[in-house]
Amino acid sequence: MISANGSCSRRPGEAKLHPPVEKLSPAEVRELNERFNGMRTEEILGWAWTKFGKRAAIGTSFQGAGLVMLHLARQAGLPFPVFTLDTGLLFPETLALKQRLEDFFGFPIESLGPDLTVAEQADIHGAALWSHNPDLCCTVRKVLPLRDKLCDLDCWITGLRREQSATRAEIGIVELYAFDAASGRDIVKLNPMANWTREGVWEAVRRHGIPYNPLHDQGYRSIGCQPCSGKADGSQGERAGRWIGFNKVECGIHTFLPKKLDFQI
Amino acid sequence: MITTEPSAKLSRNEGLKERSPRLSGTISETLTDPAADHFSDDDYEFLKFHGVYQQDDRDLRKTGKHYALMVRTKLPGGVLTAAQYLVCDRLSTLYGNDTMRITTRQDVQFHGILKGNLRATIRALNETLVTTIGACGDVVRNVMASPTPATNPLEEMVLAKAREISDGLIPKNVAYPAIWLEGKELDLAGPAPALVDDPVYGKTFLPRKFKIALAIPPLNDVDVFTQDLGFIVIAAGEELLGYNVVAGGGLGMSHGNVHTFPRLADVIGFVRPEDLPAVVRATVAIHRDFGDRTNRKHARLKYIIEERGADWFRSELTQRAGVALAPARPFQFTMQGDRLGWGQQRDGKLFLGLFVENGRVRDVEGYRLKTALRAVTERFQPEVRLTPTQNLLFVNLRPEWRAEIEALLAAHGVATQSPSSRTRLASMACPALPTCGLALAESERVMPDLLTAFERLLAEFGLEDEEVIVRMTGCPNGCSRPYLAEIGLVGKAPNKYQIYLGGNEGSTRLNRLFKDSVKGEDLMNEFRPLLGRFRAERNPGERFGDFCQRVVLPPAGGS
Repeated sequence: MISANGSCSRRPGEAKLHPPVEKLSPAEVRELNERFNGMRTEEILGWAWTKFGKRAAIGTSFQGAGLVMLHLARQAGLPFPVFTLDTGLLFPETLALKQRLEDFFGFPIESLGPDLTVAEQADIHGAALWSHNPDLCCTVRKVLPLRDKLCDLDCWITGLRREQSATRAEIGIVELYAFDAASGRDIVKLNPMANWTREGVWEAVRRHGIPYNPLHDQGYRSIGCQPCSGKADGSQGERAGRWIGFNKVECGIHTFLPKKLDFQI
Repeated sequence: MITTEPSAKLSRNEGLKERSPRLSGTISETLTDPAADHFSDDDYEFLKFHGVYQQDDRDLRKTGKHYALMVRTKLPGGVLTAAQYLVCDRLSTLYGNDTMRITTRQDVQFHGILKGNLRATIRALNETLVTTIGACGDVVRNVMASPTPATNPLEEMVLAKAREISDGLIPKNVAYPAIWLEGKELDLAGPAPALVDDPVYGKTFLPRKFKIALAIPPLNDVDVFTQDLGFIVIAAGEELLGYNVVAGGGLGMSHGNVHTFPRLADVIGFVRPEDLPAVVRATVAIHRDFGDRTNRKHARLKYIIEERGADWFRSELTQRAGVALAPARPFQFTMQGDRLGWGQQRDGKLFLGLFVENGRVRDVEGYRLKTALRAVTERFQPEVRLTPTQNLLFVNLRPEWRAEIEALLAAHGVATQSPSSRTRLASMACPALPTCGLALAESERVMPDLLTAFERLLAEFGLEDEEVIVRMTGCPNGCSRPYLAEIGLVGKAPNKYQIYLGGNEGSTRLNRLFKDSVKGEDLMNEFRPLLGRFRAERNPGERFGDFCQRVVLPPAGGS
């Protein structure tokens, strides 16, 4: 577990520049969750915009649900900042897609990179770290850049869906995480696509003509970094093909923070 | 979380910590019991956390145990105000043996304190804002940093950092104020306040001591590779870029136990300045969680890293600290020791480095060092800094005071530029007999004469201007860091020493065992042929330690 203590030490004064919005209590979160379960995605996003404004941001890896959410946000006139984690190990197709999406939507997508280049990482942790310690590789290339970004945010919006895997089956639409134990700072994680199905997502992508990753048409189900994403048929779940050979199903960005409460859905 | 085998039995100290989480034992009761001349065995262990060692005068053992206490302060970077120094000086005379011992971790030790004066000593130190808590015991010890006054702004920054780390890791739960400052256990009318585990140390503290230091290349005065955790400053001019982290050093070993050994720290990686606190906390936590709590001789962080590997440590540190370690930046250590004599600070003021042989501040006939230091401190109120080589620096002196300070020192027989040989100025010994309970042989008491004999030997070969770093200890635990010296002498039994050879000037190389169990009177006979070969076969400018490494010892990595 990444220590949350002092995790914003790299941005001293940041919290002062942006006084955090009024904290959500666990009871409020519970109540919001019940309410949001019956609401449309764009309505949930609207709530986040009213509450957090640009202190809320959408993080996406350009897979189906994220694309649909970007589209819905834009349609609703909600100019959330958008970011993606560029690990330096992405497929060329993914990098090209980012440009296509910026052109299509007409807004920029911020790339967050790790502190270390792939070569520097090889220098200190050995070559092809993903092949012998994928958890550490994900920590360096995804979790830590994300954590740094979250220092600037009060609400992190994701495209997670409950249907994607067992680890995601019980996510709430609103979740509350302890971000920094020392200061008592929380972060709200919003999963407005939680109830979407795979079919619904892809039907929406096609209907609106949203650019998508061509690798999906070549047999990839779940697309992350090049070394740790393989082709898979649909029989082993939507996230099949990731970290083949390791007992690993999550990169860590959705698990590194301690959750403040669990929900029954 | 303790990862030892469930069947392995925890060491006795672990049970003590578990049963008395405030580490108070029966210290208060014994303090106020006039019939008790010493503390119990359990209290002996608890007292260490309070900065106190119970000792007895080993010269007098034939007539029974004459107990006295050693009190160690915790002075990050070795810095004292003039007022604090004067309190230490006064206490050492009033309650101690009229000497102060500067330690190799930049602390002051008081020896010979009687039980009845212990509380008054510790209280007086605390009243002048000097603590003793965590100076010993299974916690983070005094944090070392180069005390050389600022010739560039980084040095002051590093001292401040040492203070910050040290203060942040003072254990929170120990019944220290209750025992020493209020004079009794807290006994409030209501229910006792809930005991919250220390946020860093947890309930049972660390498996063993933990040492931290910061170094600014090219000067390795703090012996950064001997620390559990070290930070090597990486700068561009006056701008701090970050630190190279080193971890897993430590010198202590036990004779005849191959599972214990001195070890230099591994270079782990580079971190940015703001990541330092997270790295400290995470590394301490790794020691806490993975250290061997079944065997105190095998409990230091160095054994974890030796057995699990530096890569494992990098992975664990990255995950726990949330810091992406970058490849270490280039650095080079080329020297150690202190700037003795007069020097100029960045702000135009002067500092004065004074040689204190083996760190013992005392008066002897014709050389009244202790009185001289007190006189200068009273008169000029300088900041006082204690060095890792057991010397003392006066800081923030005005240039116009120089003549008066020299005269004042001279009146007590103290020269500002010590007439001692380069070898003597670069050498040190631990206290050993008669106070230290661990000593197997003499150290501090025989070192001056031993060096005199060695100086004579050097002169025989025309080598009197050479600097040979000699470090002596009375036991293998390594307080004077003998395993990095050009000549390391380690006590094995009364009047018997191991000779280690081959350390270097930058303190980046372990020396190696050359001869076991040499009698004190035979030491010079061992050195004579070595110096003969050194004179005949050395490369131009080659130091004795490097020569031994190249010529005398078997090839490195062999055997």
